[in-house]
Amino acid sequence: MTETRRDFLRLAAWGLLAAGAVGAGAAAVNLLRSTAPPERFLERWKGDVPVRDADGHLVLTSTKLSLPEVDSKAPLGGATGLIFLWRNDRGEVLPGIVVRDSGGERRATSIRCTHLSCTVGWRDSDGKWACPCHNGVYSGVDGRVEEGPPPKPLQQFSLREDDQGLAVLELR
Amino acid sequence: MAADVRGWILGLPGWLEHRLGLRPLLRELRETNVPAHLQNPVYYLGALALAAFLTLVVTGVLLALHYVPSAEHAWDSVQYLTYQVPLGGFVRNTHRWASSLLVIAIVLHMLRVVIGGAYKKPREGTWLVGVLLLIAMATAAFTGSLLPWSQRGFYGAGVGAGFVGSAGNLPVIGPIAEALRVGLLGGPEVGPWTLSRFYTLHVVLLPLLIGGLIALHVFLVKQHDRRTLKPVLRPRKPSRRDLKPLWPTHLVEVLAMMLAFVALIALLGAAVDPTRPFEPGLSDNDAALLDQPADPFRTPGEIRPEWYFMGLDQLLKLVPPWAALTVVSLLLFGLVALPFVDRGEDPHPRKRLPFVAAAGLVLVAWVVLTVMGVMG
Repeated sequence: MTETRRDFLRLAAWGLLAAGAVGAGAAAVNLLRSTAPPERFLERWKGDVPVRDADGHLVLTSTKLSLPEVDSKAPLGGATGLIFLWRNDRGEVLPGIVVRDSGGERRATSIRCTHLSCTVGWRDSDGKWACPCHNGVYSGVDGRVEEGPPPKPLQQFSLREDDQGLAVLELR
Repeated sequence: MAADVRGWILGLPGWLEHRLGLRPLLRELRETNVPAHLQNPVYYLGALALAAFLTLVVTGVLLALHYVPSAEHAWDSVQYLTYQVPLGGFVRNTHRWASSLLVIAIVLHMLRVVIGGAYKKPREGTWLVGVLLLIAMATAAFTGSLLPWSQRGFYGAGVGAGFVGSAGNLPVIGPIAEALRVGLLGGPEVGPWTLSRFYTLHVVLLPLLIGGLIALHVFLVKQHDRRTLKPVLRPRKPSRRDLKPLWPTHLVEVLAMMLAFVALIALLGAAVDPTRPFEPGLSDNDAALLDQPADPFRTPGEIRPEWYFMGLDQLLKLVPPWAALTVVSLLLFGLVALPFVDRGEDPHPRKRLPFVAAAGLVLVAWVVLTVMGVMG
């Protein structure tokens, strides 16, 4: 009879330990998996005026994005224009820039290199976006990859004015 | 009075022995002899790596007393400790030089082990712990470079995480790689949340892990008695110092070499800027730009990682990221599998030419890629 009690207690003890380990493990995995940055960190990136794209997604801006002033002075590796932030469908908040091209048209493009996440700079000499990290080169007109390892073109945006006179950026 | 003091001093060893009980161990060490072929300095490289690691720990603790791990203040705190704290710049430079010399010591140590076939039975465990140490040290170096929140560290972290996650489109490895990338960064991209992760890894988790692995590694080395390693290198001319007792002669020699290595690191830390010798193609101006505060909207035109990651960065310029990831994964797999694939009894390099040649090829490729990147 004592053997049976001892066996049962041994089984119960191991079972309890196993259940505890599984529970602790699940809690730990849950902790490690929560990586979405709290919105308050993104406060620092938020500008004065909220801008929405055509789907109503908030486009975070670093400065006021009103059309008459859309070519204000945020110089980026040779290009002068308005820096904005946009959130892609992986949840990354990426920088973009609105510039006036030589024809006076406004162009909005992502400036995050599609290779390994550096920020591209503008090359005045040939009018192209060039990434200093691994020498990727994109067309200055439509963001197509022209040289180097980047796998995808730079995301382009179109601009339109909404009824409040605010610029709305849409993925092209 | 003098006799009392003398008596007290003479009684000290007995007092200690009573409490520590080390005499049997010391006797064993004294009676163990180190043969001539193991007195070659190449067998001291592991100890030199340990010396560099200990230097990193000591200088690291001193840095951590002043460093603030927040994106708002990290750069300022590093400027403060470099330029305002007495000897702060020296401690910081020594920390960076120690990491460079640690990489060199580890590579040479691994080379000696591979050429000498010292990973063969029964030392497979020692080798595997060594591979884990390599990975842990590389991760520590990687996470450390983000901490100053400089341009160099910020984009280095982004590229490194992008590299880890670059298998994102592949079937099975893809989700794991993406989860690893996001887990490493603490979010979808590099930001203040990443600093918390890297700081904890670099200052708490990795030093503890590395310390434990080193203890295990040294224990295993002792367990498998180095005297059974067959001679590979030709012994020096026989002399009366052929057989040295392990304690005190040999170990004190090793200790002296370790101290000399630390002195070298400290000398370099006092006299030479830790990055400039490894960036010959970079002008002083461009180098200064790399140490500016991190700016997510502007990547410096001459961005580059630390020299020991330069080979990988160069590879990333030449092949798609998933190919580079595959190469690195295969290399790691090869390292782990090595003792189980190279099964011959004889450890002499001439009898193991394919393996020695493969190791040599990998080393040459790494050196070539690194030099290509460093020369810019």
